[in-house]
Amino acid sequence: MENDKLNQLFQDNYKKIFLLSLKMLKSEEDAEDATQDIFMKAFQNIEKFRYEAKFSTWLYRIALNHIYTMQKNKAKNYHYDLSQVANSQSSSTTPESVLREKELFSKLEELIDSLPRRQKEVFLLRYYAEFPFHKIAEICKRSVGAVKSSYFFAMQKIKNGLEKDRLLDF
Amino acid sequence: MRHISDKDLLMFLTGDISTKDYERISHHLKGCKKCRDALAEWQKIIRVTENYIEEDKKSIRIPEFTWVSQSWQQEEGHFSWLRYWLKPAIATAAVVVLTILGLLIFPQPQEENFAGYSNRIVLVDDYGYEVYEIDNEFFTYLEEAILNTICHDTILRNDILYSSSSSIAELVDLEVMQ
Repeated sequence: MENDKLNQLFQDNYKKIFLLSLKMLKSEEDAEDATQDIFMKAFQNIEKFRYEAKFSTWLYRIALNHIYTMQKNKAKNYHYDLSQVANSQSSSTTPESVLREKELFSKLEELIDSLPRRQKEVFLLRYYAEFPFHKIAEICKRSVGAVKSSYFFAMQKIKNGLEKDRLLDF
Repeated sequence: MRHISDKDLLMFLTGDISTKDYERISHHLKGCKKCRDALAEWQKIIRVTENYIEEDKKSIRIPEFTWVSQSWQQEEGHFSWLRYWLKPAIATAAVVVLTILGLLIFPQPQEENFAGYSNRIVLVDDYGYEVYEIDNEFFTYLEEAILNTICHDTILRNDILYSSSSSIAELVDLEVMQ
């Protein structure tokens, strides 16, 4: 594969890989390291890419494997600062609604974090990498049906969590 | 009436559903308030989730994509250097070393080693072979003797005379050679 083309493919996927790493590893520093390692791994192993799968599928498989290895090897004592989201410019206008939105977003963060591994993987690939289910199925080497089920269970947990705390009553 | 499952409602909203199922659910929703309410709940969940994701993405500082091209160039230079100079040099050196080792460990057959030495004679008998140093004059004499005599087990090849002791004894006095 030509270097320019490969470089472009890397750039196209860079943001999504970083977001995925950040949401999985919960640390900006770790996410930066992971992203760098993932692209270096891909670059170093580019000759092993056999065109049987799409490049992005291959790249995200490397990414997930690397992230899971990092998760195993590293003590997960960081906490991604929820206030980053909560302090970002809110779409709400009144102080009360701003506060409510902060509370809602904090809860969502917590619920997403607490998802089981497979559900979280599907959820993040769906929302942060913006992949359709069939693509997620390719990356995770699972059936489309299984991926849809994981997505449903993840969304159901989120729904139940928000309903439990009455955060949807608006 | 059988209601639409939550999973199907969710898939209906995401659009990842077959046309047949889409039509079935649409048809059902028209006449079922309970399912419409459930659909509205899921819509709310999706909207809230998507809003959160959107805000979250906005809040995340994405590092510059600079390291890849930098390390790329480094790697590329590194690899080019290896590929075009160091690797072939190592490969050549390895071949030379292996050839020398091979020659040391597995020497060539003895007769080949004598190729080109016109002043030697190899006498072969049942116990092995012996090499004799002879001068050019004597070698020429033997050559002529072989040519002029029928000696079925004496041959001259690559300037080396191969013969049995008994055959050559018929041609010359061996003591002269020693």
